Amino acid sequence: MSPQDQVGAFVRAYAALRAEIAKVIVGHGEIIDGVLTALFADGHVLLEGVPGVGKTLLVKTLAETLDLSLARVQFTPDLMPADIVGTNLLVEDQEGRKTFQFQPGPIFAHIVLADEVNRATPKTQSALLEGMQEHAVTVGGASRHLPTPFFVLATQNPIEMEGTYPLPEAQLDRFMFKLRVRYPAIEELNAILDRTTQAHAAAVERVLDAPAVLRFREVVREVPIASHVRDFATRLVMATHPQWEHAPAATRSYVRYGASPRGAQALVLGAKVRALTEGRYNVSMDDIRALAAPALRHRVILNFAGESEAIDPDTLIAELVQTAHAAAARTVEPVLR
Amino acid sequence: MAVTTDAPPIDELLARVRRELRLRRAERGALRGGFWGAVAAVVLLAAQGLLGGIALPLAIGVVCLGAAGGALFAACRRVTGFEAARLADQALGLQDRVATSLELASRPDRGPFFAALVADTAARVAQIGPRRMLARTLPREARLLPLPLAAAAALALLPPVPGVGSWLPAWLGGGGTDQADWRSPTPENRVGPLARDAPRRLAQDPFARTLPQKTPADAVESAGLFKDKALAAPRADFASFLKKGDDRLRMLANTDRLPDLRSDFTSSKYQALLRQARELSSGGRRQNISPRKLADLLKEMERLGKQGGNWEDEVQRGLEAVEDGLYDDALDAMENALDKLRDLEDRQRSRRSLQGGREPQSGSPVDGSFRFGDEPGANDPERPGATAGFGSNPNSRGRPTARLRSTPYTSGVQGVRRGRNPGYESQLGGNAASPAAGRPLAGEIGRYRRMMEDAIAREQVPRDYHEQIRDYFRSLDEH
Repeated sequence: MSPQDQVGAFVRAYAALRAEIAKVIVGHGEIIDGVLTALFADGHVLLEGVPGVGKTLLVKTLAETLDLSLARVQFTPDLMPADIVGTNLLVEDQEGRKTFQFQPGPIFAHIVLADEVNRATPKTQSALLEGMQEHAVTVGGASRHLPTPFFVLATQNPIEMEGTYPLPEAQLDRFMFKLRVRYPAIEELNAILDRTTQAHAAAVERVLDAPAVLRFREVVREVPIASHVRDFATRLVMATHPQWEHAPAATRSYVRYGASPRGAQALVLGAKVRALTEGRYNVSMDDIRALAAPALRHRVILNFAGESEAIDPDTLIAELVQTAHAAAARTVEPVLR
Repeated sequence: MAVTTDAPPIDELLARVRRELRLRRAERGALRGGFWGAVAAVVLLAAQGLLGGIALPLAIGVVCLGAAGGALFAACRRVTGFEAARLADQALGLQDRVATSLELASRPDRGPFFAALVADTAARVAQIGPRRMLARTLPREARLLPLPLAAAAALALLPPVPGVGSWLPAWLGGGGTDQADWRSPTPENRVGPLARDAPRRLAQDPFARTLPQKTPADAVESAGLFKDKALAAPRADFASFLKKGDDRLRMLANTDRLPDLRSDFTSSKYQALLRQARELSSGGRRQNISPRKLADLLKEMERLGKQGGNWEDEVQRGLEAVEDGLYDDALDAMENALDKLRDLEDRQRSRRSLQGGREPQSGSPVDGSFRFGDEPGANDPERPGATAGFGSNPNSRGRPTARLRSTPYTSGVQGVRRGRNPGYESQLGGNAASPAAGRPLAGEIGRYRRMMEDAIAREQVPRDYHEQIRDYFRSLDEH
């Protein structure tokens, strides 16, 4: 299969997926693109939004369009890690012998929906850590591989702070993107009402299966990236670090910790998927710019000054993108002189 | 060797970008060079009084040369393929396709997407077609170019600027001196005012008198080597500066030896004598001096001289001259005696300033000499007024008290730190300072020592403290 055919197939599959999801989900084009980008980049997504904007519905629809297993875990304060990863149960066989048998938890699914993930304690939240990074869990000293593709979609409510546990930084860093699900516009709300109050719900067809997803993931990694584009991504990530010697003033003033190397990986991999979705064979600086906010907003930890002045990470990242782009442009400007 | 993608549209695009970039650079270089050439032309035209008719063509030539040189230099600068590719991507909105293609072409492992990328890029470049890619931008010098050009045009049209040679550099005929002087280079004209004045100052210089005599002509020839000491700045003597500072600090440390500013040196008998002598000779005409006053003054000086002065000989000569009616000789003798008086007064005053105004009340003077203002027997410690608060001598301040002699470092306990634990390290064992007020209580120490021994035996005093407590009482015994 030639690269042109591979890219063509990817573009068609992506468009089909998007169209199927759009049958159910009204609007939220950026959210759908972000979720699909993370799916093909082998990442995980944290969806943040007020209740009732369609986060859970989006995940369920995605699972329906893909021929993949879905497990939903409603995170509650009394949820235990064993409730997620599974546990060894003492069972009795037909001959009356008692043995331990592993009972897999809901994490053993292709798509795991961690609903209201910030309602569980950090201990339970951490049950996802190994699975999200290693695609395996260790129970009773035995490591067990998770099915591939493995895709975690977590949701959280940004306004309800009572009885919630903010995700630890290590957990946040394992999410490739953090997508903010905004409230629908009035036209979108009308469309939602039309669709959800009818007698017949829209039927969604399966577009892709697991092998196809894995194959597209391999194609994504073949997309080349030029060194100056890679440097742009690197500079952008480094600009989130207040300790960096060339860090902008905003970073020095408001940021406590910057993005990890996982942030740079997320930027480049996401940019490769974005390039493929546009039928391009290379990564451009526009791809990096477009994905800077979802890839970095949850990785930038504000300091006290930033928190007290209610600095929005998106605003900060937009400024960093502008600064990094200006620095990249300065490398070309002297050519004209 | 230049990297190529082997795709004609891309390579043609890069070549086109290079050409266009060179053109733009040449334009900018020409404007820059023209600006600086115009600046030089202004200087040349300002000096056309010296240069004559050649100034205008020279100025035009400099402007043209600057523009051509700038353009040539800028056009010859190297343009790499990657620079051209990035410019093409930016200018044509190719989403970094050209730069990525060129970079992949330079790599040994081009990857499976290289051919597809080059084909895609070539197709898009072919669709775009030829068009201007690089916008024309003006350098800063281009905006300023009208200024020197206008100035040059004005200078070319107006008559030559008078006296311009004075601020032109030497190689253009300037030098800051009068032109006539330079055109008639006599030795007198060639030297400056300092050198012209050299013979007179050489004659006045006491050191120069000891040197082999030179003629004025020699002095003029050596004017270049002559050092004008009047204009030379004194060199900073840092060592003496530090020494002065040390002396002042030392004076401040000895507060009881600071100069007594309340003393009135002008009220001494010596000063009164000087005043009378000054009044006597203030008339200026020696024949008007009263012989009686002169004799009285000399007698008074004789009386003071017997108390430690060394001007008795002069005074005797003066008295004899008065008796003989030789008043001029008498006045000369008195002047000599007064000089010695002044010297002694200066020595006294400087010694008081350095050693402090509070003079020692016992013992002999520092140099054994007589001091004005002291009464006979002033050095006797038993005399009335020798002790502060007693007697009638207002000049006497008595002995400095012990409080003035002591410093914060002489009070307290002298000794070494003892003990192992941190808490003991703050304790000092050794001799206490001499507490005069504690002596009446010396008899009580024995009683308290017994109480201490009882307490050590009875109370739960930590063992480490026993020796320390006993040391304390032992130190009281030593006083």
